Amino acid sequence: MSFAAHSVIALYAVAIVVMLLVILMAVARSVRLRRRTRTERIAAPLRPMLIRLMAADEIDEDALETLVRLPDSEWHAIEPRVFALLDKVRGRAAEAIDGLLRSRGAVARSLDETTSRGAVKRANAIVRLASLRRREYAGIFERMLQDADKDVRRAAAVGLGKVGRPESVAPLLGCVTGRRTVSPLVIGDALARIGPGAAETLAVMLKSGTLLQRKLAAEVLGRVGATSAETALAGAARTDPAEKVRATAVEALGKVGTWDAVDTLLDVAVADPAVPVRCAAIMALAEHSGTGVVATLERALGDNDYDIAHVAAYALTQLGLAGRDVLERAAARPELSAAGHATEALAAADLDEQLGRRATRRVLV
Amino acid sequence: MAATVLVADDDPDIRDLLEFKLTHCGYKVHVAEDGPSALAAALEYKPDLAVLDIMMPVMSGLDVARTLRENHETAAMSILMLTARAQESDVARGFGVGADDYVLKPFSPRELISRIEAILTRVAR
Repeated sequence: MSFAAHSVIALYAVAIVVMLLVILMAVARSVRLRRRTRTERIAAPLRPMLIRLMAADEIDEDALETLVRLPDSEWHAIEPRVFALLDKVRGRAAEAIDGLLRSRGAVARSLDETTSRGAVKRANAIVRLASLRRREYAGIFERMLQDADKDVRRAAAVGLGKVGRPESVAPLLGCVTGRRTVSPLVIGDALARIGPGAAETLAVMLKSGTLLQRKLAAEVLGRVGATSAETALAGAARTDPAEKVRATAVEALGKVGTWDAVDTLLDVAVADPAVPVRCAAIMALAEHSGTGVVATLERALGDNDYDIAHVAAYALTQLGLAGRDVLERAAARPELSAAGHATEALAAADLDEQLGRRATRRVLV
Repeated sequence: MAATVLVADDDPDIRDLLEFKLTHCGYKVHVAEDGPSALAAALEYKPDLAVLDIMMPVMSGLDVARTLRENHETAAMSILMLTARAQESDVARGFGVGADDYVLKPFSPRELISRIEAILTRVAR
């Protein structure tokens, strides 16, 4: 057979494979659509009952009874939606949904599925249990942080955030390093959801953890505005050996915003050996007023380092008339290096004001 | 006369829940599923209070609140923001556009009703 004939056969084969794939995708889509339509059809008449159940100040026995007695085929169609409702309401409404799910055996089934062989089943079970936000499941989630599958570990971390138990802080932070890790972004969100209750353990980890753990601990302490951790953050901002941790601690201090925190920022803005850390401190000071702040930023505006002077000029635009006064004085002396930064910052601030927008310039540390 | 409340949320479960609960508590309720519909309903019905979700399609609850405050016909309307955005800056932005209260999701329907009652009582004084 000639080369041309071989080519034609190969072309036909490829076309047939492509056609088969297209048909397969169309069938899969059609099945999904039919399944969704069926679920909607079953769920539509049941929604008013779920709404009544959630809205009632006392248990609506009629609605509960009807939903508990639903045939399994109908219940399975609406069960994911019932679990999803728990992410929208709390208090009595959530208790009513919780009671319904228990009566239907959905909670027991989810607990069983946490030990399923399939990773998707395990992850889904954790997602469902997490929506109940019950402390009694925290132990299961903490164990699942060591699961072989990354999606299961992620679901467990999110679940621990929803449960909000301060004792889960150490296991969560333990997951940012090692063989079976979870993304620091997911861990950070989970820790932030735990809130100020996480501050004590985070403050300890800020001193003793790995670089990544210390950085994450500082970031979360800032996000939750943990004033109780101000001393630990100040210690990290001044003495942590890693520049990235010091910079993150400085940003966190800016968010904590106590007088002592501002004092630390004033020191670091002048004395830290690393430019990115000083820049972070200057940026953080932009959110706080006071004569000490203006004086420190004025000094930074005259710094020989381009980045420090530039960031200080931007920070001064955020300090109202006092900051503007410093910039105008500097801009009037073109023989100084600060004049260029001041002129640019004033022009940018005026433009922002004309356009009615908040200044968006930031320095990446 | 019963107070009128506008509920604007793109989540049908939350819309229906609040409509049911508020109606049950004696309020007259209008619902909207996105920002522009909320704005149109606010101008048409002049509700006493608007419950606005922040993350709505087309136009956010923040933009709706800002527009309501800028219009002299709706500037005095009470506004309660209902949102899953819990960051300090988000809350500050909510109050920055003139919200009277800010409730985080997941929320307690009973608590939300109490807050609505408190705002309306304060305004009535």
